[in-house]
Amino acid sequence: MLLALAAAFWRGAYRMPAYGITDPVGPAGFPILLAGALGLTAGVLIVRPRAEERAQRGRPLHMVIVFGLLTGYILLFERLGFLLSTVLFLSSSIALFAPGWRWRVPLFAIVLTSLLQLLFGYALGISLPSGLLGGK
Amino acid sequence: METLDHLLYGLTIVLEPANLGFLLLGTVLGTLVGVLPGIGPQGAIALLLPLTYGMHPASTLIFLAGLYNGAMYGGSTTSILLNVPGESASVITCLDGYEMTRQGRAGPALVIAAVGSFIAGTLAVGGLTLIGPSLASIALRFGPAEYFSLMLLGLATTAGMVGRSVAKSAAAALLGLMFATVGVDMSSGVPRYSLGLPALLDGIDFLVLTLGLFAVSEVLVSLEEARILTQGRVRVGRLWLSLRDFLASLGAILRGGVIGFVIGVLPGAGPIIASFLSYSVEKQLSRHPERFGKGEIRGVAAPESANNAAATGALVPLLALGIPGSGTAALMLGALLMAGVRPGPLLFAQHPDVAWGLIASLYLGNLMLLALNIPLVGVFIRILHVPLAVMLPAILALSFIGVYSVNRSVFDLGLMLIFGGLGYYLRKHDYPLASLVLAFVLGGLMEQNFRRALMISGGDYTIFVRSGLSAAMLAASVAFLVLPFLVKRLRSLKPREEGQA
Repeated sequence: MLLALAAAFWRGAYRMPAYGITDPVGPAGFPILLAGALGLTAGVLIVRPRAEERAQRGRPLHMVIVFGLLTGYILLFERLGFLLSTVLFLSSSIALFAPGWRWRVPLFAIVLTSLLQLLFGYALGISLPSGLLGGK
Repeated sequence: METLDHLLYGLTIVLEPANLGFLLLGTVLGTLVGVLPGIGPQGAIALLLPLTYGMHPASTLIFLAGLYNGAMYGGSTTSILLNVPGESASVITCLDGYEMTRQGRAGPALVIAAVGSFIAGTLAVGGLTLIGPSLASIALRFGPAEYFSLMLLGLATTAGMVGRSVAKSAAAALLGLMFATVGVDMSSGVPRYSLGLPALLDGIDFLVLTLGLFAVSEVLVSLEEARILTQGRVRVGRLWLSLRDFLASLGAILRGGVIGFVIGVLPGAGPIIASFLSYSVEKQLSRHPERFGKGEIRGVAAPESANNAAATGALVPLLALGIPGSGTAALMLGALLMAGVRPGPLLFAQHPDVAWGLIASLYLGNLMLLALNIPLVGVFIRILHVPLAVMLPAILALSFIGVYSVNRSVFDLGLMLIFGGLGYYLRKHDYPLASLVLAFVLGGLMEQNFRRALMISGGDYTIFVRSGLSAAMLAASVAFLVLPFLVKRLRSLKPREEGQA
């Protein structure tokens, strides 16, 4: 894993000098310096014996699902508006973590969303997308 | 005498009812969010930053000072009650703190943490008051070359002290510097690394990066590791501290305060090192070292005092030089920049209301923290019982609001998710996020000074070593990066023992 990361570093470092050629010296100078340093660091990381990986047990699947849910949330955030998309996101993720809750899931989601809307939308005046519900 | 006048001036600013309200709000919110499981002080500050939009800079600062104090303190509560350190600087508090809880002495442990933080914090603010302005006046003579070297030194010491591997810290810092170069180059107008995306031309927003790295990735990690807290009732015992306990701890608190402040002022991982060091000092000074780790009250008092003092100490370079001394201080710097205040030597001269208002609010904030924490411990414990199933999604929704509020841009949300993924990966592989954020915040300034220095010298790189100060700082930077490596080589025979950083 470490090795893969270091390789990615190398590639990044390799790409950047090429970038520097097409650019005036000014803006490229500092990135080139960084790329060189990063290349060096990656080299050190490759040469060094890798540290023992932390033993992990847990639920990687959950993590992946949440990542997916977040992606969905982002896509729907403006389209459906803050209220609808947040209720959807919260209920699906709460349902995922606390399977036994049933009817309490949407309740929590709706209460939380309203609280957030009240606090940020109205009290602090941060504009949140209204989306489908529109007409705010 | 002049200092005292300034301080009084600062106090009059903080004592305005509105500002006092902000300080209280910041302290309470900071502590609450700091107590939340699965989110440390850095995440807490990042989550609450959007609240500062539209505030007057001085009020923002005062609010932030409360937030900072509160969040740093909040971490210790979970260490003591649940054996879950809210942040790495509280790791060592778990040893004796949780042990005290198991012995039914959670009350005294929490009180001594609050009292110790208060005394040491106040001491440290005193130090800040004395040192800050004079450091600032020295820094006024700095040229671009000195500044560049100083920032490099800050990054190098951080890399040398945080985390397990210097190379990894350095890599994280370099990543941060690279993220800082994204966007249109200030002096030439050339877009850099924007990948052809117009949304990236303005660069990566500070909030997007920090919320992704801290809030989102923390949630992801706690989900994956199924870090569900054991939700047994916590018995606190009486919230009371006997005079004997207090006197026994007083020495530890004072020593912790001094150690913490001195280490905090040095750039790098102040609070963590300070808490570990003060703990081992106490253990060595104690006539009963065997009691440490078995519920010794000094084992709570020392590190808690030290990490609080160090948190304040870290503000010295932030205010006087514009260079944060720790990851959390880097967040403060980001917040100040968002509020349109650039900390640095000129701050004391140009915005005395901001600088002294902040210092005065730290004094008052410590007092508030003490007054609030003891009666509110019951509330904090109840918060710990909020199920993670509700907490984690709520944290995510909060980060969405925070990021969206910056530019009203869905693109930023996506970017935050990407940083969340990156943060997750980096956490899993022990790359210190603090280095990355510190570098990201400093990146722009560092490049500016680097280029300005070379402009002055006409492209001659020896400008960085021509002044003794700059050369010394560069040499120290190199030493910080290389020394740990050599030390490790020498010690390679015996396995290193160290805590999680």
